[in-house]
Amino acid sequence: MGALLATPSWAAGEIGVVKSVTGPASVIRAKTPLPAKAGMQLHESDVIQTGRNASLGITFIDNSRFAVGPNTNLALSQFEFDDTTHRGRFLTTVNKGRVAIVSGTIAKENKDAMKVRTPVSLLAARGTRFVVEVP
Amino acid sequence: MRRLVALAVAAVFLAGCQTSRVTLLAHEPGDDPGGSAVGAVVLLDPETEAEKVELATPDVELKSTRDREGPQRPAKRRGFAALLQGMPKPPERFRLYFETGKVVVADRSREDLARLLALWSRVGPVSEMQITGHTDTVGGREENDRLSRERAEAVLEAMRNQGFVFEGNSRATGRGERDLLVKTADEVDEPENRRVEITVR
Repeated sequence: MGALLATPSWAAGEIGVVKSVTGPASVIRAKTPLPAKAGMQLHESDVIQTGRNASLGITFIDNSRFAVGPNTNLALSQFEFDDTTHRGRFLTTVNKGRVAIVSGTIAKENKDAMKVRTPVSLLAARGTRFVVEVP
Repeated sequence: MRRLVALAVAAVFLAGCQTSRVTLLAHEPGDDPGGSAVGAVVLLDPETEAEKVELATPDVELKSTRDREGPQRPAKRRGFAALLQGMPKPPERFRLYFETGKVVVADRSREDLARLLALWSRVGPVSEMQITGHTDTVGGREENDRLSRERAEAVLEAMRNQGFVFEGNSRATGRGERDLLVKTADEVDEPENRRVEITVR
């Protein structure tokens, strides 16, 4: 399984791209906050932090999509995707705030492989569109 | 000391009160996340990952606290319209056929190629193109993985030569014979399966 997941043909580390940003938002990478910008590539373990009235649109390489709302903190905790076999898994941790999610190929082709963790729950997406809120 | 105890009690109390809420939405028009009309979100046990509750009705929300889930109730949709405005558009998909053994687009795909070129010149540098090659079942699996990837790479190169500009995230990959458009037995020459699919997101 490890070997199958370890051969992505994408640029090293790229798991998605920021498509749009409104208001103050940053991507925290290795504890360093970077201002979020449209076109910015995202990596596994990146943390997204948005401020007041902010929003962020993201597409992932498996065609999953996120709309991140204001005052939100979420981590792209785990993301593995092999675009030849379509094996993969995707774990997002929502610490605070609100995110709308449209699941992609990882959820479609691997049962319960797209998960969202909140401080009190663990969700698995089965081919769907949903909103997670942590007040 | 007394204040510290009060703070500790407050912290435990707050942790105990922490909640999260999940709301299932109907699929957006034109989106195809795979099969079912709505899909579902399943609440798992955070430790064992055993399935606890399935949420399969759109516009219904389910609240969780540390020790319990539910009940499911109609969502208060306040704020979702604003949130969903930030959602990137669904990817656009194209399917192109090529003349046998060449990287020349077949006549039947000319219109699609023109449509793709028009879209690509409109979308700007934030967009990515994913070019995925597919083969028929003639030949071995690994050979077809390589062949499909090479065809996709050749298509990317040919598009570059025809004036498509790629600024970073576009990729060519191959799925080999895993995703047959026309299901066939092994070792069947099937032109419908020898294709390249292009996703613009």
